[in-house]
Amino acid sequence: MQSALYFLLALRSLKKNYRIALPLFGGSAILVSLFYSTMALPHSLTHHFGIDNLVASSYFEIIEMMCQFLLVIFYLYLNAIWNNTRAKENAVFTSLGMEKGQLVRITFYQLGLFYLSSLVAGIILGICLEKVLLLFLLKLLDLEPLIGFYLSYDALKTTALFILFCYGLLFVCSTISVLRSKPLEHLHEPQGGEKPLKAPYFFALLGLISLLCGYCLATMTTNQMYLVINFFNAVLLVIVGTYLLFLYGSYILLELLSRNKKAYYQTRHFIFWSTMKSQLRKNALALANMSILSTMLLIISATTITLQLSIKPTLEMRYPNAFQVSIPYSPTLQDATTQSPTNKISSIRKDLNGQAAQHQVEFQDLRILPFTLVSLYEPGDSSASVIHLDDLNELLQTDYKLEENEIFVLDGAYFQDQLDKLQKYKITDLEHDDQLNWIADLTPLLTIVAKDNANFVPVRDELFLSFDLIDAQTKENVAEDEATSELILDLLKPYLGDQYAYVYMRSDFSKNLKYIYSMLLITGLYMTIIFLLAVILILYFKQITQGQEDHQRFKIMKHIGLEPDGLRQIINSQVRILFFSPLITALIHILFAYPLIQNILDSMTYETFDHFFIVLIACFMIFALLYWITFRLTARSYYKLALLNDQTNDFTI
Amino acid sequence: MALLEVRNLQKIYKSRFSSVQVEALHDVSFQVEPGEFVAIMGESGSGKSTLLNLLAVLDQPTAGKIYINGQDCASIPNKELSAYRRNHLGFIFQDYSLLDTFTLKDNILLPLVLNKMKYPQMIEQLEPLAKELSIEPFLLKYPYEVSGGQKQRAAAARALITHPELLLADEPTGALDSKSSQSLLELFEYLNNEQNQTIVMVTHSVSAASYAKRVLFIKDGKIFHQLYRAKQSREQFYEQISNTLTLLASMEENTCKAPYTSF
Repeated sequence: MQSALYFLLALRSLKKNYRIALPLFGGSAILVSLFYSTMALPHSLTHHFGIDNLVASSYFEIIEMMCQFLLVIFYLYLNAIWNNTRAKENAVFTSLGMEKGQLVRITFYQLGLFYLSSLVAGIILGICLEKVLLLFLLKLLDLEPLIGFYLSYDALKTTALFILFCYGLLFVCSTISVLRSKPLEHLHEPQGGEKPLKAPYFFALLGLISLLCGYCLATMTTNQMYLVINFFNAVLLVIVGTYLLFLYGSYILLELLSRNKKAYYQTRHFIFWSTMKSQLRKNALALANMSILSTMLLIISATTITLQLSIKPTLEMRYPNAFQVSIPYSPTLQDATTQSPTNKISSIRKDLNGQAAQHQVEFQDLRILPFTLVSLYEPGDSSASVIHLDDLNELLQTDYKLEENEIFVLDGAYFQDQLDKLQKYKITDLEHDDQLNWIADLTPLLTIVAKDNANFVPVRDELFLSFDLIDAQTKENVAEDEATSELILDLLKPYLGDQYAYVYMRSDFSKNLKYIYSMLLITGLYMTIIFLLAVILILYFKQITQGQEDHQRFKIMKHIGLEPDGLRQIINSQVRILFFSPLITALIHILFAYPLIQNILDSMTYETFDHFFIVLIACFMIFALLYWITFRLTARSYYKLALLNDQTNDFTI
Repeated sequence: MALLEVRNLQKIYKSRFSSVQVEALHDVSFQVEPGEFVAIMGESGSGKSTLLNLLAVLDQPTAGKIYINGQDCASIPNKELSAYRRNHLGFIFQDYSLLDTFTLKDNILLPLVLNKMKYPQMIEQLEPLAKELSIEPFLLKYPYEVSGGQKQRAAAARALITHPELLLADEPTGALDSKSSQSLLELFEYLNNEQNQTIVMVTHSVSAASYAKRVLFIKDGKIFHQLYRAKQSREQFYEQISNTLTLLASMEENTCKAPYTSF
């Protein structure tokens, strides 16, 4: 009987605070669905396709860990809001003689209801989400979906347990907050007294400097070595700057504005500036959070989408042909070294074509590039590859020229150490185009182009081959598989001797690339959804609490004689500035982040894909639209609360 | 001509979801002459606040008319209502109704800012008033930094700064201690006597009402009785009001007992 009473009280309070309870339930259900889908997706992949390699599981482990971490933080935030909402109610119960233990029981029932309802809704939603994500992932990986329904009981169990753990944590937190609360304080709400900020100029300046340093780092870093590290430094500086400027900068700005008495006491500015000052102070942290979350989700989504879109151009550039193989310079070819480059390469080509004919295949678009691995430090340690200028010109059909004692380097930015060893030469860093990038990427070493390689300490000579292979009879492309790889090695036997070479196939590379980038996209998607959810919920809760706070203020203004239209105007501009500032801040942040991220992407994607900016702006537009819709929807609750007419609340004329 | 004339005022509240009707005011008529200080007394639910809301043009009567300075309040266009309220009426509320985001000075200047007055002119208006109400030292403080009495003085300054023809006070001493109450009421008396300020004050405190020149008793939405102070001392008037209230209460008791006695 007693339990029923507490249950009823818990239910009634949920109903009464539906404005907060419903979004909490929704948010919790979405979090459950995200968690379930991260758990179920790898199971489904394994079940359908046996995709169970290390890369996949480690990616999902990262997503899982990230989800768990964000989930716990998110739940704590939601719980704090719920506890705040209920504090006054608890105070009333306490004053009516309810003990803290009994309040904890009500909290227990409420959290239990939240848990069960959001678990059921979340898992249903999660099953749908997981199926959609699975289809999406299969499409990305070019795999055919299988018919049939598969439900992972492991994932269900883990989700239920993990969410239970989260709610257990929330129950502990809520219990502590109930036990520590002083109910009387909530019964007599003090009229918002705020202490003046300490050292606002210092902190605002610090914030400004931090933000500017972050922006400088982002726009000025061109050294490939420092791109990633500077990116994280810039992120850190910008985050610190954003928080400080929102907290202190806005305060100072309005403080300075209000010192200009003439402007301050103008009808348009007066109410707006002074209420803005207090509202900004109350909401600064939330606004800064929203700015940073928005920036992060924009960057994450734009970057992962760009990488996904870059797969095709990267593939075409990195693998112009289906097969690539690097073989040692065989003794049988030694006689060719004395010939002119054109003759040397054409004699190799002729020889290789002959070998192919014996195996009933034909080379197509055969590209040959001889190079020498040389040592810059200890003898025998290969630290650079040297290409003969004529060989390069022959392969690329270019007309590069070198002066006496001059060398070209292709990817010098990564090999400062090695370049120091080459002081005696005049070094020119060749302007990279796609072709040169391809060549630079053939070995993981510094690539040098020289007129002759006599001055270098050779380790060994190698021959790089890139080609398509067709069947001599059917003229069709030979399949890219193990058998073909064997065939190619067989065909190269005279050059290889008893040494082994690895045949790189475009399909393998393509599969890996798609796999990695698709997993990144999925990871990005998860983070974007979580951040988006956070932004939407913060926006909503802030509007609700702000509406409740502003209600009394607007009522007074109306009594004093502020026209309803004027009031509405003030509220409109106030709410707009307040809630659109994170969006504007995010836009400024991403515009400054753009050069640095573009550079990082360039180093990953062969400069072939320069659509990052377009993707970034497109992501921003979509996000802005979502933000605007959320704002419009939540603003309704704000106006309802802020302009609620007391007299017409229960009775109308 | 009377400054305020209320004729056959009626106010009916209807519930939004049911047909229940509550008649808050029933055929109320009275007049307030310029320079009068009128207290309206009555118990909770007697219709005092409804009457004040109607006088303040915050609400529309169901029937009847209110004339301020001969002008029918119902004839004021909606758009001009706020300006009218700002320039002709001053309000003092029980909860002070000061904005906590403004300093006392800014709270007091708010009506002038809304009237688009120039800053130096505003200061000209503010200074003598602040001196008169002894709130000069607190002008730059926020409402939460000063005492209840000081807040109510600031609220009074805000109500008076536009030199309104009629000052409306809704339980102005309700949240004050006896010393602050006394000092505020003395201020009202001073404003009324020295500056000829017309004041209508709603209260259920006998002590507060005894400062007025006339007391209207309102009961169940009707003007039940009225008392003039005339030449009486405050103490005598207090006594008279008190007696009237006792009479009122005993009459109520009798009416309540009536069904039983007749049974």
